[in-house]
Amino acid sequence: MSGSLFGLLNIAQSGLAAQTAALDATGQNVANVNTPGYSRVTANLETVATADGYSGGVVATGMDRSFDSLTYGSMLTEQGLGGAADARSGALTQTESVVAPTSGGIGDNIDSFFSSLQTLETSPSDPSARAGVLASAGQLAQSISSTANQLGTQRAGLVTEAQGVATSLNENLAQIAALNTQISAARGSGNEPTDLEDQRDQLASQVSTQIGAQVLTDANGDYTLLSSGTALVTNGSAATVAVAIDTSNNLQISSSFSGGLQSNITQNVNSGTLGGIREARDTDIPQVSTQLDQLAYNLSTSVNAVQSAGYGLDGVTGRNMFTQPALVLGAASAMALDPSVANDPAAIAASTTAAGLPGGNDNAVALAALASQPLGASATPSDAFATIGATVGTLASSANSEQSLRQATVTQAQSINSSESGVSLDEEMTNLDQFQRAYEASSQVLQTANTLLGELMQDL
Amino acid sequence: MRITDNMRLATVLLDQSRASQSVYTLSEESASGNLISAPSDDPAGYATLVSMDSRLSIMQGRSTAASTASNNLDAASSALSSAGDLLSQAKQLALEAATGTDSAADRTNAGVQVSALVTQMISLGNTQGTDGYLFGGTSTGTPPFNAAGVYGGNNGVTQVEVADGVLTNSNVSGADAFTSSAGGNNVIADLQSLAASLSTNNVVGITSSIATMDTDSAQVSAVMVQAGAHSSSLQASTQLISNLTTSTETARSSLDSAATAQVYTELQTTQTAYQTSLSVTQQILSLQSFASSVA
Repeated sequence: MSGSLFGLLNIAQSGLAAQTAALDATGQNVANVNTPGYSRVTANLETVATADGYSGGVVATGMDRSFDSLTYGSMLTEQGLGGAADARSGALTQTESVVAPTSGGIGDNIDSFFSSLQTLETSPSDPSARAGVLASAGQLAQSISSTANQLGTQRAGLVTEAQGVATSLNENLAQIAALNTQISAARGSGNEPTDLEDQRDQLASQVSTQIGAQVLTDANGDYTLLSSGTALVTNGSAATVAVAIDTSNNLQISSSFSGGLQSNITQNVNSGTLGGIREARDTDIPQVSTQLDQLAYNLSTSVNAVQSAGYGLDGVTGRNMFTQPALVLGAASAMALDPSVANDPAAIAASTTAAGLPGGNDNAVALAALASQPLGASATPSDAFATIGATVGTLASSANSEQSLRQATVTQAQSINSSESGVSLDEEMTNLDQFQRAYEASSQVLQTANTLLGELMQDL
Repeated sequence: MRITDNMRLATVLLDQSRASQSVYTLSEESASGNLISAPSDDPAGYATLVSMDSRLSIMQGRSTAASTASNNLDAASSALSSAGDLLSQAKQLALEAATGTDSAADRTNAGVQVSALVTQMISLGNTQGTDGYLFGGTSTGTPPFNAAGVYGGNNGVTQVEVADGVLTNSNVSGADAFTSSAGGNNVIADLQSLAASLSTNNVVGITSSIATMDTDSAQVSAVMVQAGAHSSSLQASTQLISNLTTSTETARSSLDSAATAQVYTELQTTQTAYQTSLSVTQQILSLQSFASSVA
C-alpha cells in the first residue's frame, strides 16, 4: 500500500490502540504491585508490515509475562526449607519451655529433693523433716512425669497440626490441577492466561512452604509438581496427601492419585512445614524423651536401692521411694511415689539398721549423698538434667539459627525472583508517561491527517 | 539487577524484624538481669548454670546441716561442762566429808547434796537437741537415763556430709561420757555410791570416791573435748562451704548476669538501629508515594 491520508488515519488509529494496550499493561502492573505472586506484564507491540513494504502502523499482539523459571525454582526450594525451619523452630521453642521452664522445673525439684534429705540428716526423727522429704520427692516425680506427658501431648498436637497442613495442601494441589485445565483450555483458544499462571505459581509457592515443591513445565505446556520424590500434580490430576501415625507412633505421610495406589513418602518429606514437623516430632522430641526416661530410670533405681536398704521409723525395711520402673522406656511418664511410702513420712528410711532408730541418720546421709554421685554409670542427677537442658537448648538454638538463615535466604530468593517478575513503580510511572506521550502523539497524527483530509475536501 | 518496590520493602522489613528481635532480646536481658533465660540462649552455659545451681543447693544444705550439728554439739559440750562442774562439787563435798572434823550428821547432809547432784547429772544426761536426746546415741526418742540413772541409750554415731564423701560426727557418745561401756566409769553410779557412803558415814568409801570423781571428771572432759573438736570441725566446714559458695556464685554471676552498663549501651545502639530501620522504611514508602504523585 502506498502512502495515503486514509492510510495515515489507520496508522494513527493503530497507534492509539497499541498505546492503549501498553497503558493497560502498565495499569495492570500498577494495580497488582502488591499482589502476591503477580508477574509483571508488558504489551507486545509489533509493527504491521504490508505487502508493499510500507508500515501499516502498530499492533499489540498480546501480553508478555515476565517470568524466569530458574529464579522461581530457587525460590520454591528456599520456601520449602524456610517452611521446615519455621515449623521445627516453633515446635522446639515449645519443647524448650516444657523441659526447662524459667522456674519450678525438674532441675529445681532435684535440688529441693536432695535439700530435704540434707535436712533429714540432722533431724532423722523429726516428722516435719520427713514430711518435707516426702513432699519434695512427690514434687520431683510429678515434675518429671508431667514433663514427659507434656512432650507426649506436644507430639500428639503436632500430628493434628500436620493433618491440618495436609488438608490445606490438598486444597492447593486440587486448585493447581484445576488451574492447569483452565490454562490448557485458554491456550487452546489462543489466549495467554497470565493471571491464571500467576495464581498457579502462587499456589505452588504455598505448596512448597507446606511440603517443598519443584515445578516442571515442558514445551507442550505439560505441568508437573514434584515433591518428596513423587509427583503431586500432573496436569489436571492432583494427588491427595494423607497424614497418619504408624505402629511406632511416628508420622506416616502418604500420597495417592484418585484410583491409584497409596505410596508412603514419609522418609522423603524433609522440606516444608510437614518436613519440619516430622523432624521435630519424630527425631528431636524423642531424643529428649529418651534422655528424660533414662534420668527417671536411673534416679528411681539409685534412690530406691538406698531407701529400700534402710529402715523407716516403724522399723520396716525394703520399701522403695519411687515406683521402680521395669524398663527405661516410659520410666519418666510413669514416675511416682511408691505406694508403700506415699502417705507415710515414717516410711522414709533414715537409718541403715533397725537398732539405729529413731536417731540413726546414716541412710539419710547416703540418700542425700546421691546428689553428688553419678547415677548408674552417668552423671549426677543434676548434671543428667543439665545434659537434657543442653540437648533441648542446642536443638532449639540450631533450629532458631536455621530459621533465621532461611528467613534471609527466602527473602533473597524472593528478591531475585521479584527482580525478574516484580513490579517497579518507578518503571511503571516512566512507562505511563512514555505511553501517554505516544498516545498524545498518535492523537496528533490523527488530528493532522484529519486536518489534511479536511483541507483536501475543501479544495475539492 | 532490576530493583522492584517489593524487593526494597522485603529487605528493609527483614532488617527491621532483626533489629526488633535484638531490641526484644536486650530488653529481656536488661529487665531480668540474666543473659540466659532459656537453654537455647547458650546451651552449654545453661548446663553449667544447672550444675552450679545444684552445687549451690548442695552446699547450702550441707552448711545448714553442719550448723545444726555444730549447735547440737555445742549444747552437748555445754552439758558435759556442767557435768564436770557437778563432779567437782561432789569431789569437794567428799573432800570435806573425808576429814575427821565432819560429824555423821554433816556427812548425811552432804549425802543429801550429792543425791541432788545425781538428779542434776541425770537431767544433764537427758539433755535434748534439735532432734531428740543428745546422749542417747541413735536412740534419740527416749531419755537415755531413767530416774534411777540407768543408761538405756546406745553408742550409735551420727554424721553429716560436709563435702563429697567427707563425713563429720554430729554427736558424741553419752555412753562414753557417763557409763562404763567403753571401759570407763559409770559416773552416775559413782555419784550414787558417794551419796550412799556419805549417808552411811562410810569414810573409806568417801575417800575412795575422791579419786573416782577425778577419773569421772576426766572421762566427761574427754568427751567434751571430742564435742568441741567435732563442733570446730563443722564450723570450719561451714566457713569453707561459705567461701566455696561465694566463689561459685561469682562464677555463676559472671556466666549469667547481664552487665548492666554493657546491656544498656547495646540496647541504646540497637534501638538506634531499629529507629533507623523504621525511618528507612518510611522513606521507601514515601518514595513510592512521591513516584505516584510525580506521575
